[in-house]
Amino acid sequence: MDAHEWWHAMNDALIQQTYHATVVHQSYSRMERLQIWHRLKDGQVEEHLWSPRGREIICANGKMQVIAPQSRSVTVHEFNASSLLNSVPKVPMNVDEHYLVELNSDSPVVFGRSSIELSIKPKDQYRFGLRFIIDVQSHLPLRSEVVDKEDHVQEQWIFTELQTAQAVAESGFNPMVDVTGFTEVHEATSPPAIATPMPFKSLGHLPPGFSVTDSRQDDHGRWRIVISDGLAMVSAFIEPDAGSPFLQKHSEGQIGTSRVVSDQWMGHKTTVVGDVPRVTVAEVAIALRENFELSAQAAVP
Amino acid sequence: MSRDEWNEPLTPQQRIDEQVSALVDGELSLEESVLLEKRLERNANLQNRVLRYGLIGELIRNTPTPHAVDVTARVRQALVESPSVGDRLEESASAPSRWQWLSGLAVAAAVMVVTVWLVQPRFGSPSPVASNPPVAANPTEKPGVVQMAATRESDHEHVLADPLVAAHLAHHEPYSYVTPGIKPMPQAEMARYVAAHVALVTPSVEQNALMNLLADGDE
Repeated sequence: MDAHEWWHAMNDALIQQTYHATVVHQSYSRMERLQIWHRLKDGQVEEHLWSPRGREIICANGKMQVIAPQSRSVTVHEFNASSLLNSVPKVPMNVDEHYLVELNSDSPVVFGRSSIELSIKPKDQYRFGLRFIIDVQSHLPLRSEVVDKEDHVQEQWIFTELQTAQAVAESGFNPMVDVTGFTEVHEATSPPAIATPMPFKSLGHLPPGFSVTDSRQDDHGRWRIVISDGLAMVSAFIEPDAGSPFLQKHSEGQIGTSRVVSDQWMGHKTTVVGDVPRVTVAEVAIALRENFELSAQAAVP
Repeated sequence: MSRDEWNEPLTPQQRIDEQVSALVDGELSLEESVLLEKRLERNANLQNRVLRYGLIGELIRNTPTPHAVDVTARVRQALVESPSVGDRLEESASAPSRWQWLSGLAVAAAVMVVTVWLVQPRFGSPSPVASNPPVAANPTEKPGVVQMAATRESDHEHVLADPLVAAHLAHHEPYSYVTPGIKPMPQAEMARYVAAHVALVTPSVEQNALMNLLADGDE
């Protein structure tokens, strides 16, 4: 199989395979551990996540239950379950334009099992890359990393224990705690927002490879625009704004691998958020402003 | 000169230190990572070392450093700009069992709550938009700047008062001063937009749930 086929195979395995794994997530100095049981039963994904801190999530029968033992509550969301671990991005059609997708020549042997290393390297500084070590036998990712252009790891997931197929007990899909007597809370699911035309005829001057993939406006005139290169995702929020004691004219921040840039101008506030390097959200913010100003000038008779 | 050239074998402690450092830098092999993770599970001192190495690594890379402090304290600190909410959180903090589940709940709902507020205001959530100010609760209040400020504060409070959002905010270590000379975005504001972004690009609740299970904060 080539690199693209391994990427597809990994995504399929995360849905199709039956497995029980201990997963460690590290981002900067944070490290978290959880266990996951996953299977496909009658065409539906069933999944159980358990954190050593006590929280549990069970997805089955079109519902997601969030179990909080300390409060003795179960919050129920109605939805058609898919894999919680399936946050590994799908293979975009144009991925080769801006990323180098390749299998590394050194195939590591992990605890006696063969694996391959799949690398999705950004070709410029506007996006992060991904790196996976994939178990040859199960096609599951034993390790996944988000890396920047300089190959610094921003975030990583490690499967530290993995059982597949028959080794996964039926009991793994049941809650770890007895939920008898727990308060059950049902959460409403939001209906899908309606897609509407963009506030601009086009959105030029975006970073290379990025384009608008979705735009929506709510009842209060607030715009949400999704900008993507097929793999990296950036959201832009445009809101009417008459000034606020809580806001500044230009501000920035970072949460995990998400960068945020916010500007206020011409009675509007724009906020750009993305799991991309800072330069990308900054460039998108500038592009929004330029396009908005051009649009405003064109509107003057 | 490398250690090999010195021909001095590493002590077990030195080897573990090197492994921790390599793990934080993403340079530890998968096999070693797995073994180290098992040691971490058993050894609180080693866990602290991972944190310390992480902080050092971030300093070396000029990455702003998150503060490893008690979650409840951090939430209160994050909410200091909204005193009324801070007071409310004080109450929560004084009821540990309640707060623990709030901070610990897998905050799938947090993303939903924030999304509903930002994206679906028609469901009765207050709006931050100046063009649509709500009626002042106190009929003696004069309209204008004061009322607008109150409206904005009320909206801000609404978001921050949601304990799930507070938990999300507390865990996710908002970074300040990403670029020297640029003012940091208020933490609650930032958390709200990041949550909305996550909801927007992965609109199904279930795909956010894993992240939120991890975002359960310390207890």
